[in-house]
Amino acid sequence: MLSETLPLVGAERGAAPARQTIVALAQRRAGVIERIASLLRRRAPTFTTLTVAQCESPTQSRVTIGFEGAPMVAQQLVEHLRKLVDVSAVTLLTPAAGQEGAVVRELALARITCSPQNRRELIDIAHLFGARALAVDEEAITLEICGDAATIDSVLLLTRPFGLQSLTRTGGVALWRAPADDEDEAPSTDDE
Amino acid sequence: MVSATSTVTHERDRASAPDASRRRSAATISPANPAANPTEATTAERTSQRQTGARIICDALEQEGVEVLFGYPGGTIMPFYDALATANLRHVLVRHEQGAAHAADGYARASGKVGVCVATSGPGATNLVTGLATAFADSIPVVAITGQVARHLIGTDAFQETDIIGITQPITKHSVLVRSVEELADCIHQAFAIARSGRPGPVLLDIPKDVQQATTDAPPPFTPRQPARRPSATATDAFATAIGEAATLIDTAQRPLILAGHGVLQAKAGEALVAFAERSGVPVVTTLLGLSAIPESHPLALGMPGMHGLAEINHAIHHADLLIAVGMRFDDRVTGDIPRFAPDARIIHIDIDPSEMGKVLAPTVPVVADARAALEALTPRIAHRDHSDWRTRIAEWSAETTKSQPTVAAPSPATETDADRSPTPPEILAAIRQATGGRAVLITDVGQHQMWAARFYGYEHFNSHITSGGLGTMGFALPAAMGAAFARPDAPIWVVAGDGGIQMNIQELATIAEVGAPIKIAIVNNGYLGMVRQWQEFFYQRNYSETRITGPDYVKLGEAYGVPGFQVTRADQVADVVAAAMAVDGPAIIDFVIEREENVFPMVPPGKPNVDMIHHAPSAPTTATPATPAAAPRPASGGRHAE
Repeated sequence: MLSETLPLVGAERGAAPARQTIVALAQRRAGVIERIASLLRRRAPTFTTLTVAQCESPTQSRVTIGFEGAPMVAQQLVEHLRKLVDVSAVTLLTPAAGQEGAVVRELALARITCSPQNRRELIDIAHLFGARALAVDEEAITLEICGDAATIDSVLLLTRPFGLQSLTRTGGVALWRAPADDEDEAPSTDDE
Repeated sequence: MVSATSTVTHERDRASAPDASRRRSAATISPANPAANPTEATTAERTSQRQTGARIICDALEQEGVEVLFGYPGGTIMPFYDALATANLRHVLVRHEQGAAHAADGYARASGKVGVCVATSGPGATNLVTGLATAFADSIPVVAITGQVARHLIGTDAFQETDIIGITQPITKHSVLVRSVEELADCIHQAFAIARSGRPGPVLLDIPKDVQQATTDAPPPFTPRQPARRPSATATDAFATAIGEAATLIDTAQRPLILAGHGVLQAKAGEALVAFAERSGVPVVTTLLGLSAIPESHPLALGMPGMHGLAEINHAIHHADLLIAVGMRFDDRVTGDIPRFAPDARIIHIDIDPSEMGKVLAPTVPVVADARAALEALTPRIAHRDHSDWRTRIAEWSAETTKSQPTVAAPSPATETDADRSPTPPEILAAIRQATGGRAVLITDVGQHQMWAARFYGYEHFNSHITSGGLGTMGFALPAAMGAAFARPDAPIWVVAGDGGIQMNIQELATIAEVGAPIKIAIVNNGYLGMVRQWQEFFYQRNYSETRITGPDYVKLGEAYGVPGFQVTRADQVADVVAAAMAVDGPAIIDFVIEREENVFPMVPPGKPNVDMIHHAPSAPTTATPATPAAAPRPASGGRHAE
C-alpha cells in the first residue's frame, strides 16, 4: 500500500551535507547578481563560491554557485533561484551528475615558497596535476592550477610543506556535457 | 532634461488639515480627481503624439484597472503627481508613507487585486519599507512606485537620494530601476504581472524624475495579460501523479486533518475547500491567515492551531496520521518544536511555491499547484468518508479542555454584575459580530487582541479576516483598513487593535476622516504592550520592563480628527456602544478598557511541542521582586491609565 511505502515526515532531512554546485543563467542587468548574492546570504549562509561569467548569450551571464549543504537544502535553493525574475535555467549538479553530466572547472593561482634546492620537487608535484609555473624567482614559484575543486585542494595540500604565500581561487564554472533538458529550463515568470 | 518643477521644492509638502466639507464616502469613489487642472505640460502633450513618462505611468495604471492608489508626493515624484491631476485615478493622500504601503496591502487582501502605493525618493521610499516587508511576508500583490533622483544624479549622494532598490531587495518579489522612458510602460505592466502571478508579492518600481519628465512616442496599445495562476502546472504528468498519490493517502488515512492557510484565500478556493472537506470527511484546521477560508459554523471547521491555538487542535495534530496542508507554510507559530510536531503524520503539501516543499517539513506527497486547482482535482478522486470516530475523539479533547481548563478571558465571578466589571475580549468580539451580522471584514493589528480576534469572532464569510501574520507588524490595522474600505464598500469594516499598535499609525485617522471611510475602530486597551507583558509574566519573572504604555484620551483624539469617539469601561456598555458606533455615518472609534493583565490561553511556550500547552500563568516567583507593581490598581473611573 502506498501509505506504507512512502517515507514518514522528516525522513529525508537527515541527509548529510555535501559539496553542491548550482548553475543558472542570469540577465546581464543591474542588480541581478546583487539579488542572487542576497538570496545566498539569506538562504544558504554556507555558500563558498559565486562565479559570474560571460556565456553564449550577449544578454545573460552564466552563474555558478558552490556551497555545502544537504540535498534538500540544495533543492530549496534551486527553487528560490527559479523564483527570481531575471534568473532562468537553474540546475543542480548533483555529485553523480558532476561526474557524468557536467564538467566543473576552477582556476587557482598560487605563489608557493621554494628555493633553488627544492624547486624541482615542487614542479614535479605541479606536473602531476597539470599545473603550470607562470613565474619563477629566487624565493617562489607562481603556479596556475586548473581542475575541479578536489584537484586544486590536492595540489594545495601537497605543496603546503613548501609554504603558501598567496592564493586566489576563482570558484567553479560548470557546463553540461550535452544540452540541458527542457525540464531544467525554469520559466522566468509564472504567466507562461 | 531640466525640470520645470525642480526648483519649486525639495521638501515634501505637508497636507493641510482635513476639511470636513470635502469629506466623501469611501463607498462612492469618484473615479476622476475633481481638482483636475491641466498644466502646461499636460496640455502640450495632448497636441502631440509624444507622451511624458508621467503620463505613461498614469495610463498604464488605468490600463491595469487600478481603482485607487495611496501615496504622498515629494520632489522626485512631482512630475507623476502633475499628470495624476488629469488622470482617471483616485488618489488617497495618506499622512505617512507607511500608511500608504499598508493601505495598498489592505486593499489587495480585501479585493484580491493588486494594491498600489506611491512615494517620493529618500525618506518617502524608506518609509514604505515596513509595509513592503509586511506584504512580502504574507505574499500580498502590491506595486510600489517611488520617485528617484534624476539619472545624472544617481550615485552622487544627491538630495533625497537613497538606494531603495538595494534596501528593499530582500523584501520584494522583484524591483526595477526604470532607466529610460521607452521601457517605462513595459516595466509597469510587468510589475503588475509579477506581483499577482504565482505566489503573489510586492514589486517596487523606482522611477527617476527625469524619466518621468522625458517624452517618447506613445507606447503601443496595451493588451492585458491574463492573471494566470500557473494553469499549465496542473496539466503536467507530475501533477497527475501527485494527485493520485495524495488521493490514495487520503483514502487510507485514519486520523487525517486539513491545514488550510492563506493560499486558500488567495486562490479563492473557499468552495473547493468545503467540497473537498465534505467529501473526504476530514476536519479543517485554519491557520491565522487561513481564517475565514471555511465558515466556522461548519461542522468540519475546527479553528486555529499552534502557539495560541485551541488545545484540541494541537492534540489532534499530535495524533494525526495525515496532514493535508493547503496553501500554508508550516510557520513556527503553527508547528512549535518541529521534531515533535505531528510525529505520526505523513504530509500532503499543496502550495503554489515549489520552494515551500521541504523547507520546514519534508512532505510525503508534494503538490506544487494553486490551492483551488489542486482541491478541485482531488475531490472527485477520493472516497466518501465520515471519520466519525476521529472527529468524536477531537470533540472529546475539546470537552476535556473546556471542562478542566479555565476559559480564556474568563468572565468574572457571578457575584459581580456586568456593571461592576470590565468588558472581556470575547464579549467585545461577540458584540461586533452581533451588530454586523458577522458580515464585517475584521482587520486586526498584532498582539493579544489579534489572538482574541482570531479565536472569538467566528468568521462566517470568506476572506473576512485581515491581519499581519508573517511579519507581525504593529500599526498595520488602521491603514490597512483604509485599503479594505475602498475594496469592500459593501461590508462593515472593523479595526480591532491594541492600545500599543493603534498609536503606531494613528496619524491615518486624518486620512480616514478626510475620505469619510466608514471604518469602526475598536481599541482593546489594557495599558500594556499586552503580549510582551504576558511573556514577561510567564518567562521573565513578571519583570514588566517597558511594557506599560499610556495613550491619549481616544474620545478627545477622535474629536480632534473629527471622528466620533466612545469609551467603554463596563461590560454592560459593550453592545450599546458598538451599536452606536455602527449608527455613525462614517468612521468611529471605541476605546474598550479591559482588565489590565488579561492573558491569551492556551499558550505553547517557545521551543516546546504544541502538546505542552499551558493554561495558567506560571506561579508567581517567590524571590524576585517585580520591577513595577504586577497588579497596578485600576483607575477608579474614566479607565485611562496615564500615570
